Amino acid sequence: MSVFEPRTFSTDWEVMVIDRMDRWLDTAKCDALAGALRSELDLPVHADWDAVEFGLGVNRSLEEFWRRVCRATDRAAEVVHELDCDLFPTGAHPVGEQFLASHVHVGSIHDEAEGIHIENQVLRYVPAFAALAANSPFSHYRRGAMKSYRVQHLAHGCTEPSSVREPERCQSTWGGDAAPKIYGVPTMEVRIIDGASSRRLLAEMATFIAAFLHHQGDRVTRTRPTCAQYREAMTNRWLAARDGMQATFRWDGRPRPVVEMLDEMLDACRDALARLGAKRGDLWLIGQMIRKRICQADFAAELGTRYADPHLLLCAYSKMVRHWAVFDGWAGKARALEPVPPPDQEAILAEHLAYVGEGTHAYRVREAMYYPAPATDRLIEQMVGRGWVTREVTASRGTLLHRVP
Amino acid sequence: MNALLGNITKVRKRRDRGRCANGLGALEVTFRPVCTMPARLRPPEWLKDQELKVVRRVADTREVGGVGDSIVLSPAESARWLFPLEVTPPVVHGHVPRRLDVRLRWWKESKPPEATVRANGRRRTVRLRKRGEQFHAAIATGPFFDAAPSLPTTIEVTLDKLKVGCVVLPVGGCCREAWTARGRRHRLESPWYALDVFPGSGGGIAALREVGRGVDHYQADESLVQEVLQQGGHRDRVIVGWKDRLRRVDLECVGTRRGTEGTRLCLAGGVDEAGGVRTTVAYTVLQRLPLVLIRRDVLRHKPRKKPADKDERRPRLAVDDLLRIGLGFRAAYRVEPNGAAGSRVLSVDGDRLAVRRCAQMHEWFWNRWRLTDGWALAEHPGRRECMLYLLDAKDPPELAVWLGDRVMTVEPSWLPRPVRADGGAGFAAGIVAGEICGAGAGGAWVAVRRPADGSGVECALVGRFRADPAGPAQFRVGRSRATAPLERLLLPGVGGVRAAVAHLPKGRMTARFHVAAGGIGTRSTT
Repeated sequence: MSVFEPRTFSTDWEVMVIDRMDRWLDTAKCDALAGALRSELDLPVHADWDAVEFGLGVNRSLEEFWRRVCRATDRAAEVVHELDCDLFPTGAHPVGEQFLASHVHVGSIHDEAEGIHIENQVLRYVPAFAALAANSPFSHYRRGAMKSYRVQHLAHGCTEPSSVREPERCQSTWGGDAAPKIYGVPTMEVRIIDGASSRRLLAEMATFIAAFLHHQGDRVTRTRPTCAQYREAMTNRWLAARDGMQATFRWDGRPRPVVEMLDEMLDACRDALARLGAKRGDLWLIGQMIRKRICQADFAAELGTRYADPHLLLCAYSKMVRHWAVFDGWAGKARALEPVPPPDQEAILAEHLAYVGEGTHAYRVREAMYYPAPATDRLIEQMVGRGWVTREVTASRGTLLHRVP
Repeated sequence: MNALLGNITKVRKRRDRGRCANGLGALEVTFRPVCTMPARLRPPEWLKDQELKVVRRVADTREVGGVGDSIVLSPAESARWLFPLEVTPPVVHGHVPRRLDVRLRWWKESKPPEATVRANGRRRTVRLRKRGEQFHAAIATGPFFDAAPSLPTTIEVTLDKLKVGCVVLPVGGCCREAWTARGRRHRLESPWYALDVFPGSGGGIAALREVGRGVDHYQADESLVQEVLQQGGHRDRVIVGWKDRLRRVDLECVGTRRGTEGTRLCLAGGVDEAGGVRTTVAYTVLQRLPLVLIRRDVLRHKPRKKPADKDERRPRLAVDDLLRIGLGFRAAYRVEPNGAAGSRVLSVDGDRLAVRRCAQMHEWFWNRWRLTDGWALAEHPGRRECMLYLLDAKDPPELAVWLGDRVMTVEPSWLPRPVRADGGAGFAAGIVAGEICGAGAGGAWVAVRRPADGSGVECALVGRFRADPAGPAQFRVGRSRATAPLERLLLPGVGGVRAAVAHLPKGRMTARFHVAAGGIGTRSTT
């Protein structure tokens, strides 16, 4: 018997609003727009940090979700047009600090202990969702290194790598990549998903994620990832952020392309998809992305090659993504990308080393891949042992690392 | 503000150029200027109601949008409209150039009005001739002067609302308003440095050039849309309540003075009219030493107008009129690449020399780092540039260091304090910008050289040492060596510093430069 009953899903899709001077509307103005939309559409539309957050109610099928998302966003676009503004659906602002998400809520779950077991169970799969959703290749003047700066920078604490939890010995959490959220709506919330630019992709992703979690809910195993598997999951999370759909994950010590993994996940949840009124063929956009190893960030990054300045890029990018199907059309014509080889231990060490300047607090090195403390400490030991880094232990400032030229 | 944002009025495919080889199409976009970027201020008066055109190469016409949409121009695209009139040369030293070239890069009509040239109380009109897309005129300066004028003097060129000029400065130091490629600045010079002080942003330093090497230590990457001083420059902060009130404040020049010791520029203006807060800043460049002194004062008087939120029905206590005022400054430099070496900041943390170099963008070093020895050194070893900040060790600020997009900042801040009406706050700082530096737990110094008036080079060192340094400063330029005593100077508001100057008659600007002082040698440049 599934722990999800009835089988439902929804999203909180954060979308910025841009005016004709390329300024974003602040939270107060977004709240006013959200209020107008909420009363008109009878959907839980809110405002959250300079964005309108489209809560799309309780959905039971892809078809229902698709109808709602079209109705809500079409009306929202009309409302903001009346104010000479445009919706700006993306995962991060090229100039501003904001990160935007499409959190997917999967319901209905009323047993938090079972939810925690599922959280442990899906922890290793969650990076695959991040790869599929990667859509923040520009953020606050950053560009070029990541396909999801939002995931890499934990969305300013709004999507944190999950810990392995045991129901009898843990507290409720907020802000994890994927966790039960019984205290709000009775759902598992998958927060790692970047704000989508394509509403079709959002509909397909939300349905797929819901089906996969429902599938996991049909067979709760109560197993927990091992230490090695947890480290792999963190490495894969970083790979998803860096390479998107080109990533090659590591799975029990072996390389595994994320597209193959997603393909298998889709197959595995076929029955659950059917319960949501969808076949694999209905998820045609995801299918194309898997075949070509592309994600929304690739579309945006291609645009970014012609606009070196973040302000000019914002101007062009916001014009493009206000057309809901622009990514869908691009995905149809895009050439397939090559998989990126998986990182070996040396590459992982080099990535951690890149966080060391001079006087860098040792704790900052964890931001590379969010490995647990003992794993990061072992890497630091290696850096020190090889003479790449010196360590200074101080009473007042903790452990500081200095890169050796 | 170095870029324009416009509102599109027309988009047309360029048939003449068609599709380019790289698959991009060309669009001619007509737009009306709406604001300057990134601060989104009103565009200059001469662009009012103008329709301008720019060509964009796009893969998809939706990148540009359509009528009513915004378009942001790059700094290069915007320059001809934001700064259309140029005079070459803008600054000269010693004598009036025989000829000035005036260039008008854009005009709103097919034929521009005549330009008026003023100098030495004389006035002439000049007609600019079209050459390609631009208008040009060559102006002979002879008719304006019967004899060599006393310097400084300015030859002003005005055309409609546009005004530029050629400033003729005496060799060796003075202060004068000048027009650079980025607008109006106050040029403050000594034999060692040339400063461009920007009257906006509360009076900041837009350029600090070593006279000897011609290096601008605040040179910014001009290709980025940016506010003045954001990517390169020095600006002070006056935090009233929680907000930096100085950032958008234009200060007026209230006087300049040249004395035997140095040249001073004073700027003043209101910061917070409701709170009765005014500020003055004085920049002094010393004649004999490579040293810039900054004195920032924030003065609070009783406001003339009653603040809007004062409610007469409520009794007020003295504490109700307190303002929280914090001070600080932000110095921004082009950052040298990350990796194993690059731009870094040094100072003393407790009893140790502390080095901080951010590795990741948007990384901060902060954590209550008090500059108890009153100095902080920014070093860019790859390009041989360094800057020493000398501050009051008795009232030390806390230091923050930040890494941004192609920029590194050094941001000392003094803790906020309560300021009553008739009260005030302020700080003083000394800046030494140079080619090489030395630093240790016992102090730090920066050394500069310049071609000497006769032959060889003149070298100078300014630094601060915790203990009295034993022995003189030792200078070496190539094979040429000299020593000079480390004099003690007491700078008001900054405290004691040490300085030495030496003339090396056989030294050259291109030879290797080494200095040792107070037991501290020259830092490696890698």
